[in-house]
Parts: sequence; structure tokens; C-alpha cells
Amino acid sequence: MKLGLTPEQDQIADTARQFLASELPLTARADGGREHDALWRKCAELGWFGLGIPEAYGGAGLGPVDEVLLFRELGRALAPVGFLAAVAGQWIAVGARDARRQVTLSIGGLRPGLFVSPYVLDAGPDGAVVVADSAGLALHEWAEQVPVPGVDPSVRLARGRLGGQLVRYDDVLLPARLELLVAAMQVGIAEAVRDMSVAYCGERTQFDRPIGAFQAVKHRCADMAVRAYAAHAQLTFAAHMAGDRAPAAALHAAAAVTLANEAAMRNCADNIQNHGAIGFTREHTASRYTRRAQVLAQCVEPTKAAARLVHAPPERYEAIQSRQGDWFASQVARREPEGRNEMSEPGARVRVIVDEVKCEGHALCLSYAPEVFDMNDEERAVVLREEVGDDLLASVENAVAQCPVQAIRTEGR
Amino acid sequence: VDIDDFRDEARTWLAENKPAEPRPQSGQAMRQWDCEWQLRQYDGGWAGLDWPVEYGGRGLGLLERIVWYEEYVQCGLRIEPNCTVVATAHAGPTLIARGNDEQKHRHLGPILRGEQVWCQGFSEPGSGSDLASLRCRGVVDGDDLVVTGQKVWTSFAHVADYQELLVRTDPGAARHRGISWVICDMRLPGIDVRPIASIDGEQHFNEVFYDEVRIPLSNVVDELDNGWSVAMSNLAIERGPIALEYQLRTIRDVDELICLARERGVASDAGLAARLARARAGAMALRAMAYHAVAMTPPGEFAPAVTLTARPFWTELRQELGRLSLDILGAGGLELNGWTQEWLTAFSATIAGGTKDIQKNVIGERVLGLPR
Repeated sequence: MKLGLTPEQDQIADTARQFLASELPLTARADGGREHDALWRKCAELGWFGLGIPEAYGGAGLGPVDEVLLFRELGRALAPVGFLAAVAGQWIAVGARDARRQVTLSIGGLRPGLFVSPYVLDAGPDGAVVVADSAGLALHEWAEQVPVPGVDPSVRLARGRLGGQLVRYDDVLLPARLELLVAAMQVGIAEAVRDMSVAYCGERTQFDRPIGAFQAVKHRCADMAVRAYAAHAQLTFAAHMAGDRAPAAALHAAAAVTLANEAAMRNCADNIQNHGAIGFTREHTASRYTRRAQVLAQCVEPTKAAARLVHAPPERYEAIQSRQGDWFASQVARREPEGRNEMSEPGARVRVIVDEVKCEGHALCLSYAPEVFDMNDEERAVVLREEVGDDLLASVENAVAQCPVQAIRTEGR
Repeated sequence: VDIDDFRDEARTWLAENKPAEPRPQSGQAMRQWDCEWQLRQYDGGWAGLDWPVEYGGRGLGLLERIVWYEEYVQCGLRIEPNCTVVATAHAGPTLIARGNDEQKHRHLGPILRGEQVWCQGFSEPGSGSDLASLRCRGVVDGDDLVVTGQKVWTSFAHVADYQELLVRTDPGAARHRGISWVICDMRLPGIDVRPIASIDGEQHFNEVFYDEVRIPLSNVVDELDNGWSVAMSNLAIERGPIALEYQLRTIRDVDELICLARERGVASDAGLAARLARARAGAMALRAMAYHAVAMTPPGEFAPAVTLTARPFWTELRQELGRLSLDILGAGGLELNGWTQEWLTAFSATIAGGTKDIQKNVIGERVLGLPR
């Protein structure tokens, strides 16, 4: 198995993020789900429901890693949970070689709901539902639908009676892949509310200070970042395992969904707390994310994932290779330095800049260029002379190279 | 190095060479066991995996290190604070980065061969999280630095040959400017090591008193008064790759805890099962984060932002494992045994190497960019 993302995979996430920002902005969300019809068609046209479907069936021929990247964005954008069943329905149809039904599903002509006993989420008018069990996935008929008010009004909730089986496909990896999609949406939520909190706590001022400066609030944000990071790391690892059909793939998916549910639920709660009363209002995004996280947390029965985690034998490690690069580059909200100016004149003076946020006070720069750097009272590096000439350039470049947190940069050469 | 071959090689070697005798818990017997095991790893080519070849290492990367420790844990060995760890994981890398040729020559080979045990003289009674406030004095007198003062919480000082010692050499300078990092020979006259028993009954902790101890100036690493930056490069090592190895051990700890729950017939208790499941998921995520660190890290560097973010997750999980073991044991937790001892030892996880409070400040400010 090879860890890391290809440039094409990076692009999947970028494209999805841009499309969702313009087509499904968080600010213009109405309840009920019906208004998503146009969106649903557009997403089908983009091929989002067929990322993991073989090219012979008109899919993109990609795998769980790509699907997870997309669903993380969908979770962040609060896209319909019905998308889960749309993708799962196609897996079933392809596995069972039911080409006719697969085509209908791929264009959004059949919109199954997701069965969460005894409810169905986002059932379409056709009365079909995706049912997961430990052996595989099945598409069933769904009768006597009775709408029920749900905790998340943007998800259609109904009770009813599970009808006959339309088609099924047994592959233990399929329920695991569905869990990965759920986990990906939860990770998207956990990260989205982390970012909401960080932005808000940096701006909101009380007692003449941004509230993020208070340790009680800062530590809550740090906890959110830790949970989101752990869940995302495990999700990505599990998606690679599933892509390789590794023996432990289902175990890793259970771990991913367990951590992702916890990260989403707890981060959402912390996000409301960080926002104070405004986060408690019904239409606020903090509130929407919270209710959605609860819906997703019920999509995989927690006791089943737990049983798998407790009963699976110790894992025997296999070879894992790492593709060097920005595997989950966006997992931490890092501030990247701007690029150097390549066009400046040779011999010009060079500007020295310390990123105060990145600096951890290692003070290596002081030892390489004591004429240029000093430490302030908070043990962060400060620049004594902002521009240096040739005489100090070598020592400044040494300091740039040796800084363990890459907090120093130069401009103008 | 092909990583699959490397893993096979490590697995085979460990199966044939892992120590047969259990590790003694204390004293010179413990030291001897640790040093002999270090030498055997060196002879087998497994010491200093990521040290440069010119200093006796193998010049490999973080990935090989992780694979080595995965196999290390899987063959049943425990990664635990060992009295060779300060030397191999802190002092050695610090000397490689900042020492002069003579210092490197005198220490690096012996460290890899398990011939030198080191301890770390950083914390003082008044200087814990606020390390730069340290007051242990070093006065230059001729060719010597004369050290007077006290260090505390010094693990393995009672069996150590050398110490990474931070002393204040210029009291008039700004706090971080007047500190020096010096190699202290623990056999010098004027050093008094007194053991402190810790909560888990271990005797690794010590307080160390210095009464006009004369250390040759040639033992100062880097420049006099420049020790803060030397120490910070050392702390970066402590918070980084070294933590990954302990994190990889957590998977095994959880596996053993699940076995314990089965033996006691409580594995199907819904509340315990949910917590065990969460613990296993968390341990698996620690491994995923270790691999993430590899993917994020260019060769020869490490990624502090991501390893810092993994650390609170690990330390809090470790303490949860302690609580879980007590809940599984019930009245069995009255006995002092491996489980109850680990429950107690785990209290150090959120204190040692930077308290969790300090680390969450760092994550909030440096990773998330929140205001100070």
C-alpha cells in the first residue's frame, strides 16, 4: 500500500470544494431536502456517484481514497446524506452485474434512501433503500412511508416497512466502504467546525481581548484540532487499506468511523460553546452541523463497529510505503509562506521575515545569525535588522534552513 | 533500502536476538541489561537507524524507524523508558547537530554501543514548564566552569555516566541568552545524586546537587551562553520522533487489555466494550498519525506541527487505558501488578516533556494561529 495523494486526487477535493461553495453555500440552506433535485442532477453529471465505479460501467474507475476525499468535502458542505445511498446503490448494482439499475442510479433516476432501522434517511419517491449488513449491501423495496419530524430538518426522515429485496451483493468490504463515506462526512464536519471556532475565537472580543487568547477557549480549540487530526489520519489510512483490499480493511474502517463520529459530535458541541448564545440559534451553521453530525453518527450502528474492534485479532503489519508529499495537507490550518521573488536583481538587499505564529522559540537563528535575530520576552524570534546585504546573507540562509519550524523566510533575492 | 526487505530483515533478526531474560526493574542490573541490549542491537546493525553513517548510524529515515519499532513491539518487546534512551535519542542527536569533532568522537560511538548512559539535567525545583527561568549557576574559572545549584526529576541520574546539563552562565543577560549546555561527567567530585521514589514505586527519578563542580570548558556544547538554542533543538527531538515509538506501543497495550477483559469475562459488557473499542481505534489512529508524520516529513527533518497535534491524543489515551484496566480488574486492582503500575506511571504522560497544558497552548497558537 502506498500512502499519499496523487495530484489528480488533490484535484478531486479542490474541484468539489469550489463547486459546493458556489452551488451549495452554507448560508442559503433551506430545510426539507426537496430543493436539492437540481443539485442532485448536477452532482450525478459530475460523476460524483460513480468515482469508485469501474470505467466499463461508466464510472471513473477510482477507489476508496478518492471517494473519501469527495465525501469529506460533502460533509463540510452539509450535502445531502442521500448521496451515501446513491453511491452505495451503484456499488451493489455493479457487484450484482445489474447494468440496467446501475445506469438508472448513476444518473440520479433512482434515488434510494439509507436504511437506519427502523427509519429511512432521504428516501426518494421510488421507494428503494440501501440496507447494510455484515455480509454486504442490498437494495430493498420500502413500503408505507410515514414522514417523521427529524432532529435535522435538512434530512428527510421516515418510518415504514422494509419490503422485498431488489438486488444484493455480498462483499464484506462494501459495508466497510460505506462506513468510510460516513466517516469522511463526519471528518469534514469535525474540521469545518474546528475552522469556524478558530476564526470566531480570533475575532470575537470580550474583556478587550480576542476570546481565543483565553486558555480555556484556546485549549478547547486545540482539543478540536487533535480530534479532527486523529480521525482524519485514521480515515485516510483506512481508505488506503480498503483500496488495497487489505485483510484488516474492515477493522480500520470501524476505527475510522468510531473516531470520526466522536470527533464530529464533540467538536460540534465545543463549537456551540465557543460561539456562545449565537451558536444555540436554529439557523446558525453551528447548529446545522451539530444536528447533521447526530444523523451521521446513527448511520453506522456503533455497537457493531465496537464489536469488530474488540473481537478482531491483533493485526499483522504489512508493508506500507509512503509517497512523499502533502498527504492530508489541509488537515492543519497552517499559514504557508509566500513564494520568493525570483525576479529581483542580484546584489540587492534581502528582507528577513519571521513568522511569529510558526516560531516556537528554538532560537537556532540566534546562533547562526546573532546580528540579525534576537528573542523577545515571549521567547519568539524577532528580526533586529529587516534587510541584510551580502555580508550576512550566508548566515541568514543558514538560519532559514536550520529553523526546525520553517518560521523564517527571505524576500528580494 | 526496500522497505519490505527491511521489515523482513528486522522481524527475522528480532526473533533470533531479542533478550531472553526479563528486564530488571532497577539499579545496576537494569543498567547492565539495557546496555547489553543496546550493544547487541548495534552489533546487528539496528542502533542509530537514522544517525548519519559517518557517526556509526545507518543513515535511514523516519519510515524505517517506524517499521523497526512496529516489529520491535510485535515480537513482544516493550518500548519503555530505558536508561540508554537519553543518550541515543537526545544527547547523541544533539551532539551530532551542535557538538564539535572532539565531543562527537568522545561520545557518539560509545552511545551507540551502549557504553555510555546519559541523563538530562534540565528541570529545577523552580523551573518546570518555564525552563528558561533556570538558576543553576556556572561560573567560568580558568579552563573550568564551576557549577553550583540543583536539578530535579532527573531520570536515571543514579546510573548515568554523563548528563546534558543546562546552567546559567550569564545572569546579567536576558533569560534565554545566558544559558549554556554542557556535558557533565557524573563522577566528578561535588555531585550528589539522591533518588526520589515516584508514584508507581519506581526509583528512576533523582534530584542532583552540584557543589562547586569543576567541568572543563571544553565540555560546553556550541558556544558559551548559547545553550538555550542547543536545548531547544534537543526538545524538538524529544517532542518529535521519539514520541512516535511510544505511540506505536499503544496498539499492543490495547491488545493486551482486550485479552485481560476476556480473561476476566467482562469483554461483552457493553460499557467496557465501547471503551475498549474506542481505545483500539485510538491506538490505530496513533499508528496512522505516525505514518502521516512520515508522509509529511522530508528526509532528514520532522514535522513538528503534526507530531505536536498527535501528542495530547496519545497521552490522554494512555491515561484512559489505565482507568480502563482498573475498571476491568475491579477488586483485582488492589494488587500492585503490571496493570496498576502502568495506571500510575501513565500520570507522567501529560507532564513529562512539556505538560499537556503547555502543549495545548502550542497547538492553539502555533498550529491554529490563535492569539497569545
